[in-house]
Amino acid sequence: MENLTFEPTENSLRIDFDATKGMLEMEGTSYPEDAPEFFNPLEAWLKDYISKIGGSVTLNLKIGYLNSSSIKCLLDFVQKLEEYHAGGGEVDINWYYEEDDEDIQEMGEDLAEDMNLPVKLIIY
Amino acid sequence: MSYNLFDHYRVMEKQHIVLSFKGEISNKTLVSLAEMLKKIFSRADNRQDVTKKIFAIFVELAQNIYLYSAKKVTVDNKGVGTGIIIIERNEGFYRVKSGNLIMNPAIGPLLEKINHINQLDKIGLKKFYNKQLKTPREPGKTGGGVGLIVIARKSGHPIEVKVNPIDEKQTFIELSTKITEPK
Repeated sequence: MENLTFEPTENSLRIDFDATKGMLEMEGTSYPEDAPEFFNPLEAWLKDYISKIGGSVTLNLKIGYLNSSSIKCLLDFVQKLEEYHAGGGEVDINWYYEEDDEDIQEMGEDLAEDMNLPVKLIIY
Repeated sequence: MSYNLFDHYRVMEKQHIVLSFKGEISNKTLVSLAEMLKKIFSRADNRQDVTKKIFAIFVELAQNIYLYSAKKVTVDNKGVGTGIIIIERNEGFYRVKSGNLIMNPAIGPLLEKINHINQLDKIGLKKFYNKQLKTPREPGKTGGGVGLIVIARKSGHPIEVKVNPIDEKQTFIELSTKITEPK
């Protein structure tokens, strides 16, 4: 199975999904004109990974800014991980935030609260 | 009526307009405006948390224009909404304003949504936000339906609306909110 990588742009995330390690990284700023168009391939890749490899998943999130529609898309993506986890898949989420960045910290806390998943909040 | 650039300049000076754009909000335009906003606010002695709030509100309002303006032009084979967006600096607060045309039947539901949002306190807004985030996106819709809630949460102030009816079909709608500078 192929890895998935997107170079970052001013308004879209860096994506680095490694199928061998089950290591999924999303980093940067996201306010694309069509957030679902950006996130759909990520969900498709995850679906493939779960059905073909079915290994552990570590999602590392280093978010600077997400617009409202990207937040919704990210939440949908994490919900897929939640379903995988509920079915016995091994899932870990690391949510990185800069010290003093209350918005991103709160977003991570909300995620940890809402999801039945191990979410670790890490200051960097 | 002849258009006097000096009048325009004086109004912008008087109102302390720090950023202003009228036209189509394409993807590239939005990125340029957002980068310009960051530059303008990095120059002055601005608080980073205030800048972040202004940035987030600006992006949501600009994307509202892009998605919902009744006046669209075609850019790269896509319909892109046109409108006007400005940031003005006042004593102790900033105000972000956006305006665009909207079809008359869309006004009622929009006003209803804004009224609802404006009645909610901080906790109520958070609850409504979480609920809307979990509501499935309507098929074919790009917006997440949470933009206005994000604006209200970032601002901490009501979303103000002004409607300027044009004819039986269209209205010019203005949305604005303020961002207080902590002392």
